[in-house]
Amino acid sequence: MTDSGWRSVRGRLALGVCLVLAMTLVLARPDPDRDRFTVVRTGADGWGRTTAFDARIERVGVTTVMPARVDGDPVPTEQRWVVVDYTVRAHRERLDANRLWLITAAGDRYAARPEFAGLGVSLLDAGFTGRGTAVFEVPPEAIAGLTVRVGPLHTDRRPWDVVVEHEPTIEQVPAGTAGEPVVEVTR
Amino acid sequence: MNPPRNLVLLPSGRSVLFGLIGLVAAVLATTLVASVLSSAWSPVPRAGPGESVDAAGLRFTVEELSRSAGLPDADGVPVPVPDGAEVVVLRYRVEVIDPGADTTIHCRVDLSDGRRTWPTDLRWLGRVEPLGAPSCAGTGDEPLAPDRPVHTAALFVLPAGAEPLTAEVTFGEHTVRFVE
Repeated sequence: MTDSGWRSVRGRLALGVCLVLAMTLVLARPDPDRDRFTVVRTGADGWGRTTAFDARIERVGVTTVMPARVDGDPVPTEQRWVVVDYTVRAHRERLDANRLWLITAAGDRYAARPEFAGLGVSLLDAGFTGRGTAVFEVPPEAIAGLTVRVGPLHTDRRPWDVVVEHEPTIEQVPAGTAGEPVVEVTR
Repeated sequence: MNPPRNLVLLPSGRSVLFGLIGLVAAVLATTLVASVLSSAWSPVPRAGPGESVDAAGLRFTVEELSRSAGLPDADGVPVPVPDGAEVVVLRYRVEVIDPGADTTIHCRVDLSDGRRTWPTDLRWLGRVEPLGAPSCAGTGDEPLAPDRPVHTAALFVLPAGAEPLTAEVTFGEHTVRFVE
């Protein structure tokens, strides 16, 4: 092939590479309906560690009646209360440490019940550790294979958020009956 | 007469690639230089206790930036903080030095030790003895005005022993910093 022929081929090749690159960028564009974050699994010591926070699921229990709170009655459910005791350490900035989710084996996602939000840690500042409880209402058939997800915890949405996930051993007794959430300086 | 075929200039794949890389590098370098020059030309004004800084026609004077083990409530009873924590109090005065300045401002105050940040802790601020006007724009009865400065405050609860602290006051597009 002549020199000019090679140049012509290389020019078209470059054009093709650019087109493929452009198509890849379009196809790889994030789907706004999808969750976008990195998942960190808890380690052997139970902690899931990220640059923004550490989280540990202390205990997960199942019950059909939540104990009475102050001036209240026990709260029954026809489903199941899944009660999660957790600890979160905030490293660098204020986090909303009360953002926990349960993910079923089928991929369904349950948020913590707001009527028990007072048991959770809520806002947690840098350098502090909070211990609290999140309560979820879940169908009994969804209990097996549950995963607990902590986060994203940033009070504003970040493009590279991180969550901690833990596959718990579930006890058939209620957890979370110890009392109010506790916040202390991280040791 | 047609030009000789070997004089037709077609870009090679390599030259297109190098051209794109050069373009991206030029854009990044320009952005970096612009950012550095911008911050060098308009550094964030800062002041220590007793000092003042001016921004947007307003003068900010640091009256107190101090750490303590706790603060009393309105009845003089100490408000407990978690073991190992300390309270940082920032009191500052805002004065109008340009009659045309916007006095309907909202100040956000964050504290930083260079590694961590803490926003104003409204939960604690609401429990202790009032430290000043709740807003840097004053109150409805006594708003910030050319002849009426505002004494306001922010309060933070953080682990004791933090590195030297900087309080950053942001209002609108303006920022001033107070240092210990």
